[in-house]
Amino acid sequence: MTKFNHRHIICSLFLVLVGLWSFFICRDSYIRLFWSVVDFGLGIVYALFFIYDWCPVPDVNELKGVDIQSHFPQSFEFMQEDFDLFFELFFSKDNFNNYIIYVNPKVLFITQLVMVLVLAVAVIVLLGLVIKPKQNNDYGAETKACRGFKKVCAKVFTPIWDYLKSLYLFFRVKKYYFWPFAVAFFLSTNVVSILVSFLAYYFYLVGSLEFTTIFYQLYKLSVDMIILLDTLPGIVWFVIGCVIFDKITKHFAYSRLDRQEHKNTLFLRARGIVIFITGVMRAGKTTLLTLLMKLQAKIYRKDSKDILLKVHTHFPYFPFPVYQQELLRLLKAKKIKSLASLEVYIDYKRKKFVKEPCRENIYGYDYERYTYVYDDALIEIDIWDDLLKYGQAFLVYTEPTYFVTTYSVRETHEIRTVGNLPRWDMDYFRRESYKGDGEFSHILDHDMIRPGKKMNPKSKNFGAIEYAILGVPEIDKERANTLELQEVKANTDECNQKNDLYNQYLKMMGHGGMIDFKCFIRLFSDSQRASSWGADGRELSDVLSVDSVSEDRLTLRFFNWRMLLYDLFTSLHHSKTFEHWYNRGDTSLPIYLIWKLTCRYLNYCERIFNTFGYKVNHISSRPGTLEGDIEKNKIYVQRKAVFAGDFATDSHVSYFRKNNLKANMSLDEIERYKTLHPTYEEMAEKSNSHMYKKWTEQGHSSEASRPSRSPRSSSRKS
Amino acid sequence: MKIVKYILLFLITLFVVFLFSYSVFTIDEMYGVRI
Repeated sequence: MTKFNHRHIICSLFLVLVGLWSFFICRDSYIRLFWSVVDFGLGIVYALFFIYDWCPVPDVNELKGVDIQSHFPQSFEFMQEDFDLFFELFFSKDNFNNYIIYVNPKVLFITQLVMVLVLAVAVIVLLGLVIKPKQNNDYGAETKACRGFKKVCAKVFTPIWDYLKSLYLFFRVKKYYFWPFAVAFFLSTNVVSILVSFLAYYFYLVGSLEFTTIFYQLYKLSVDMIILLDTLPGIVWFVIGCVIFDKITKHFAYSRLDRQEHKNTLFLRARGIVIFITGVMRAGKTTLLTLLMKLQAKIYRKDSKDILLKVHTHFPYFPFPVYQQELLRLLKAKKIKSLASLEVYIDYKRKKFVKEPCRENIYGYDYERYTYVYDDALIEIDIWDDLLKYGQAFLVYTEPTYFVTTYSVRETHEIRTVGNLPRWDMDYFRRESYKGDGEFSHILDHDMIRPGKKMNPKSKNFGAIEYAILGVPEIDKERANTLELQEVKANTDECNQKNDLYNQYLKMMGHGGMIDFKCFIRLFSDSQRASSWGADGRELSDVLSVDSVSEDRLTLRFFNWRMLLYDLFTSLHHSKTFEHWYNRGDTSLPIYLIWKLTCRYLNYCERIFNTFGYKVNHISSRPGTLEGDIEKNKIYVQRKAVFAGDFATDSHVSYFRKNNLKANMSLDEIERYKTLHPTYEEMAEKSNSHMYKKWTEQGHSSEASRPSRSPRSSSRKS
Repeated sequence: MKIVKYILLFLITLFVVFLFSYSVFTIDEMYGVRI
């Protein structure tokens, strides 16, 4: 037998209280609701039959049921009069003096309150300065006061807090408690009456077109608002207002992130298929590279989806779900792997259908009833050509990741399916922190894009890439420039930059990745200097130079006061914590309270920064020839878009780790200079420097040619 | 620089609060005059 949950009694009692509050306090709301519903009904009748004389006119221009007055002007004339009076009074000296007299006690009270607060803070600060911090080495221990406080919290506050939370969750989960409460709340607080009154007036306006009545409606709204505000204490409305305000500001902040991404997309779409980013070290080139690649992936998903929908408009009654399932089956069985193999498959299906035309051979399509050929005013498109296009776009759309890179990038788009067409969730801004495994990028084997000599002569992977997003950071180290390749000869057995025909591939790769006039292959690269990559390759690209990167910004507005508190808490936390760690090994009550107060708030702010934070990269864009006009652009780098485990800023770290393990030496173990002046031996033998080597060699040769001279130190000694 | 920003923020907030309260006071006075 299941145990009776006592929370039922508490929730029932709460509902009874809500009922009593509704009945005794919010009576006016229900009276207004009754008349609003009457007006709404009559409004609909009026909107439909207003041309007939018998049609009743709804009394929307009367305030019925309540005897509450508002100061809001009821007509245009009143409003004009009130405005004149308002501004006359607003700028009158007497009124201002009266205001000062009226506000004086309140200001005095606030000033006294602030003074008390300032004094309290000053006392705490002084105590902190006067009382010398204790020093100990009690690692991991807690002071008596701290233990006592934690005990009280664990025994009193935490159980109460946990119980209230569990009660709230119970109330929220049990629909038979939550929904009656929600309905009662909105009815009792007059919110529903206001909405119904608005609809009633809308229907009245449809028939009457009497726009001058709008003033009386505003007057009615003001009365309804008075009723609304009277139902609950001011502090409750203040809290509700804060929550609504927070929701609205967050909504606008997300919209700003969307707009920034849209601008980035427009910028990217206007560039060529090879992008080359340049900038000084740690300027954020790879971050920008990853951001643009992620954006490109989004563009590919959208473009391929558009092709699917476009083909559907040509042949709307074709059973596409059957075709999709067939493609998914063939993809799973690895019978279709690429655009080329799909072409072979469609060719086979076409021939089979031409040889034996029947519905079974065209996925059950009723080709006799519906069209078989579509005319787009340019050419006549055969259904099999469109099916090929559809299939290719389907392949692109369902691809887990397009990235083929020389560093690791993780695709964090989530695919959702209920057994039909899969759908991608690409909105990473509104997502909570990413918890999935993601899809890591494919390793770029450069032999796959070398039509000429291959580094691995046995490699058979050339041509594997048809549609992809290629990512090659530090491309100059891979391809080098003309100056660096001076000594390299094309006519050798070994693969090098002159005989691998890499650049030819870049020039032609667009042909392999075209679907319905849209290109699905692009290369993104970066380097410190533009001229480090040879002109033949570089001139194919759009060069984006990172001129400067702005400081961190937020799309969330009205965060300034919270930011002030963040700065204060950061300063408090950092200074006190570090001082405490220096002096003590245990945890005292003051530091525990400081941590309790500050850490939670700082973490809240960090989540806000990670959700709404962004930087502006100021970019100079120019053709790869490095001639012509420089175009100044901005690219917005949002934290949520590129720092949610998408890539590692130290992606080539393994090289350094391996070497460090080989060296088996810490920084402290590296030999140090003995004085401020390096000795001759330290220069000649310990530094292995080109400069010192040159000096010391010259020293030796001149010593050999000149007569020997005793060192200065020895002459002094003598 | 930050302190200047926060002083400015404080002054702007104070001004907004003043405008709001003074407007409400003036409206109250206005209807007091009319009645």
